[in-house]
Amino acid sequence: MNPPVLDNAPANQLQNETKLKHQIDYGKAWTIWPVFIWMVLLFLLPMILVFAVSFFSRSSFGGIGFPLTLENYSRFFDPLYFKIIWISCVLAFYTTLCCLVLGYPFAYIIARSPTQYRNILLLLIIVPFWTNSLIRTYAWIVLLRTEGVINTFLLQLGLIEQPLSLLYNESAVLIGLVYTMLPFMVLPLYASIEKLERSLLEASKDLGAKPWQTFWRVTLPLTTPGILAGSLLVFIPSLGLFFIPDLMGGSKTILIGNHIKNQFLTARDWPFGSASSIILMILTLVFIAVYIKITKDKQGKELV
Amino acid sequence: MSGLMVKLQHLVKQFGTQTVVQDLSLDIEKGEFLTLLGPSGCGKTTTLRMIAGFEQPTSGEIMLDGQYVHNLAAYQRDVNTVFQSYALFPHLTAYDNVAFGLRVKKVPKQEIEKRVKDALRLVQLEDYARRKPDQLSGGQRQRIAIARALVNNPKVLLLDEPLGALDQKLRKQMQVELKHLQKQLGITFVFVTHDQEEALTMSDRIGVMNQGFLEQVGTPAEIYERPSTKFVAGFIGETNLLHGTVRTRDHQHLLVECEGVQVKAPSANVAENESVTIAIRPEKSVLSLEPSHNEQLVQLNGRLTERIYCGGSTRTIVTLHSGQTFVALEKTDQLLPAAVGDELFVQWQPNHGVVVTR
Ligand SMILES: Nc1ncnc2c1ncn2[C@@H]1O[C@H](COP(=O)(O)OP(=O)(O)OP(=O)(O)O)[C@@H](O)[C@H]1O
Ligand SMILES: [Mg+2]
Repeated sequence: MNPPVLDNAPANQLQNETKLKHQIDYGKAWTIWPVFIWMVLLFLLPMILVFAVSFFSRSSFGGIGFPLTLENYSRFFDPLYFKIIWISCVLAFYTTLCCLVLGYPFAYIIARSPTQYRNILLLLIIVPFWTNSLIRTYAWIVLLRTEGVINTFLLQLGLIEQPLSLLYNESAVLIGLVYTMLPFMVLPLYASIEKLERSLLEASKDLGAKPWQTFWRVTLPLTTPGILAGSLLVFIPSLGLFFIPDLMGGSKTILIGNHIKNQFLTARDWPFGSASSIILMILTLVFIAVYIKITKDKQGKELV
Repeated sequence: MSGLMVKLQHLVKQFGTQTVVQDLSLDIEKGEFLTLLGPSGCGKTTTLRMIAGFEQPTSGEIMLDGQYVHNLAAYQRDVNTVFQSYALFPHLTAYDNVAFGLRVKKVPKQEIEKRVKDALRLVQLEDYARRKPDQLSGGQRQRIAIARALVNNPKVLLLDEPLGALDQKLRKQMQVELKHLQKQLGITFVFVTHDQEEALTMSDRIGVMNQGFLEQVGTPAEIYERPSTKFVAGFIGETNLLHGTVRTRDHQHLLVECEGVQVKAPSANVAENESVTIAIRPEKSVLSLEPSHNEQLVQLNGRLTERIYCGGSTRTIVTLHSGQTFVALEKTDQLLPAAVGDELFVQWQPNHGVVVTR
């Protein structure tokens, strides 16, 4: 009597839903095609090329030639290159940390400012991107070098007697990287802080939490998605950026990005450069996998 | 036990040029269940937020338990709030939400565990302790919000339409439970609602607000039976309002002329020729097909225009000869044998009318 009717209903619904899904899938497929072609042309093909080149040998004129070999990879397993990777990771880590510490209050102030100012403030963060990053790096050099703006200023004030060596060391590279990467941290942080409901902060206050307790127990946990996304967006490009260490670090600091650039442009060893690129790529994928794992775990926990 | 818990003195709150709360003064006793009742946007939430410390009054003072609190931040006031939107922490379980207030106050672990469990038991959600807010129904969330506030054992609990999201049945049940809890714990409740029935059934006293003004404060019976303003008369329950001018007055009665008809009303502090309004509850009036010869009754005639079935009772709408509609309440099983369009008489005892001047 009744039960069959009841049983049928969900079944029908399920059928309808799958039908609907098929229709939606077609629609999706059409919008995805251009993106797909784009990705193949501009991303996948070059990747395959690099991957292929990494198995060739260097020819005597700086081109590529036979025989096919794995030597490019085995060459990389050398303490020298491990050290390069390690220094790159450490520097990228510090860059991320500095960006986070600087970017969080930044993003917080923007997200909590009156609506009419918010877009202007965001724009101010983004505007520097409209000039070439190379030019912006040179601007830093003008500021930091021995007879640069900062040193001249401090000397004139009589605060220092000898010009400070602000350029061509690791902290200069760090300054350059942090400056360049900061917006990538601020934007995702801004997005997650802006989503944070004011009533939750009030509830925390209402329950007796002092301002820092509210920050620690409510604001920070609820903005971790932004922190993680921002960190990923800063950390990974920091590994590969080569012109900042080049320009601001002098030739002292060799990072993985510089190493790759050197193989292609200076040493003209394309196969080894390609192999190094692939290794950097794998490293990057590992970091992304860790990121996905962390965010998934968080979501998973929320469902328990 | 008795004594003042909350004292609001001439509170004013302005947002820009808009005055949202106007010269509000109110004393709330310890252990009292006071309800702020009023239509949407009349300033109830704003008043609660000033007591909680989320808004600074533009002028006026707030005293909590004998202490001026204008320089205490929200987290320093011994007051907890059940928010209109619950504001449960989405990243914490129900248990951790309830424990939040105790943890930030560094209460010993074992005591936290005991008190949180008690609070969850109180709202009958012990089995849901490990769920996150988005895995709870609206009613369950509301109860967690109540437990989260109550567990701190505040001096004053502010509740901003805490039952707003519940269906009729659960709402009724929670009303009883909340009232019971309040009696049992002896905490002062300031309860906000725009549901007049809820206010009447739960409160020790009701403050009726309108456009930022506190129009009247009194027990539910006082508010219902002796409204002091037109707004209160019209907002609490259904009321017929007859507007007129005082013609004569003696120590017992007024004679008020309403649209050419003389209506007798109980004596009030008004002058001759003053404009007044007489409020008559639907259930206080009687319908009749024949005019009454009792000189003591007030009697108006009109035509039956509509009958609305409401279960045990029926609302009968009569259009008076002045053109005004008048609502009367009839028992559904004792309806007057009259059809729409029939001429009939509305009658009531003069002292069942309430005279208001504002
Ligand atoms: N932060 C604010 N800035 C400007 N105006 C505000 C602000 N908060 C409230 N108001 C205004 O104050 C008035 C009263 O608001 P309030 O929230 O106190 O109403 P309410 O009585 O709680 O209404 P409801 O029953 O709909 O919750 C409204 O007109 C509202 O628009
Ligand atoms: Mg409100």
